[in-house]
Amino acid sequence: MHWRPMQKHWRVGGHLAVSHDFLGMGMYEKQVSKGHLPYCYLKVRLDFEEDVDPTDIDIIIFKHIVLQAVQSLFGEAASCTPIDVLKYRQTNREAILRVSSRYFTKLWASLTWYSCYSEQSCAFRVLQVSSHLMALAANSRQLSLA
Amino acid sequence: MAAYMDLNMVSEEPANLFSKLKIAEKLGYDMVAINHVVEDMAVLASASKKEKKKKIVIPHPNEVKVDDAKLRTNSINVSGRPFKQCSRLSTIITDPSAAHRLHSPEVQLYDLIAVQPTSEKTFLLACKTLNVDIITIDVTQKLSYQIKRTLINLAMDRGLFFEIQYSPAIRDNSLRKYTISNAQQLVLMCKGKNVIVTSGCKRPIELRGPLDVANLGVMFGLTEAQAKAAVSTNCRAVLQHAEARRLTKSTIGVERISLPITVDAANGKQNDVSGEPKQKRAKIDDSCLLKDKEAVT
Repeated sequence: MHWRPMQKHWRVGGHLAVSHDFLGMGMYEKQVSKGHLPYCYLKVRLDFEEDVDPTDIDIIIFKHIVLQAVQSLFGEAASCTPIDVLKYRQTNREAILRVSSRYFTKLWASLTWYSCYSEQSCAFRVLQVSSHLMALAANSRQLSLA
Repeated sequence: MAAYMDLNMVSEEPANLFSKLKIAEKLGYDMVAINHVVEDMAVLASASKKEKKKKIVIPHPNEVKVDDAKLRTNSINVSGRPFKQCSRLSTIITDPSAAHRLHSPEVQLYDLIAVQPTSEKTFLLACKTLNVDIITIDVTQKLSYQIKRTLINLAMDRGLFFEIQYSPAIRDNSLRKYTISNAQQLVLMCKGKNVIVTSGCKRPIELRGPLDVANLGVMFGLTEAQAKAAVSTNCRAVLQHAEARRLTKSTIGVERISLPITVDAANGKQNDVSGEPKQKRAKIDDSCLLKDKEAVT
């Protein structure tokens, strides 16, 4: 908890902001940080170098690939943290992953390093990242301004 | 928001290179440097001593780059900034005596110049005296020299940047170990400043998005802000350093731009005489200024 001069903005998320008149010295803002939000959400797509039959990789194999990626970089200890595949679209191998925000960087790094599934070159493209699931509903980078 | 850049994209045949650039654009990069690799400058140096068999010709930077007009067609850039490319020449220096070749005019035509030292001696040389922009640390194997803070500080004072390549580790899992440990050691030594993270990719699938790379930077021990700077603002600083290198000891640069046809014809004649390309930046001196004034009037 700390004190800082009042500014004209309010934080959302893990912060609670309350204004006070502190000893008549003007407005102060009390900020209480509650830390991170519990989860981080990633929208990822698995791209292959050559065309792959979309039926080849179903949600179970996808989850297996994600776990394999984490395990190869960080080992058993990190791969036993809960990583959930909330939604999976098989046609373009796009998924929404949920992970505790503590392991978010680790998961992202292991997805980045992942490069090969059953001797086929592949890559995870991280499309969107947020601590609010709702934020993945729209992607401002794909809006067409026609 | 600063532009994201990847300052190392290995040059190859145009079709492949073009597909790589398109992928880079799709992933959100605003600029890439196309890297022409000269394995060893020593070969070049000896070639001048009548060993013509071995002679390696350094191509003009424009030959290395992709045609600009072709790049601009089907552009999918939503940010409104055009996707840009620049040229880069990199070399491995094993022999300090061959390093003077870096000052030759055909090398200096390139936008960026990078060296990869292989020993304590050449690392010292690169940090202390060489007129380059980037020092590449070969992170894929055990370093044959020790990275010392005194040398790093010397290089940082001169505005040089240290490069970490991530694609070799993506290509081959066994290289990951050394990549991570060497990168962490480097980051520890230079306190996260003056580091750029580049791809060095050979195939488009080895390329990763700029924010993915920034996240890798966090794994290498950079803070979040530093990691983001390693793919954006630091790269811009490299480009500015390169600009400053070409305009040494001057405050104004004179650049020929394409003028309307009537003036261009007069200009063209002069170009033939001087034999220098139009776009080359001239070092400022009196004669040059006069020449350009004449050309305009």
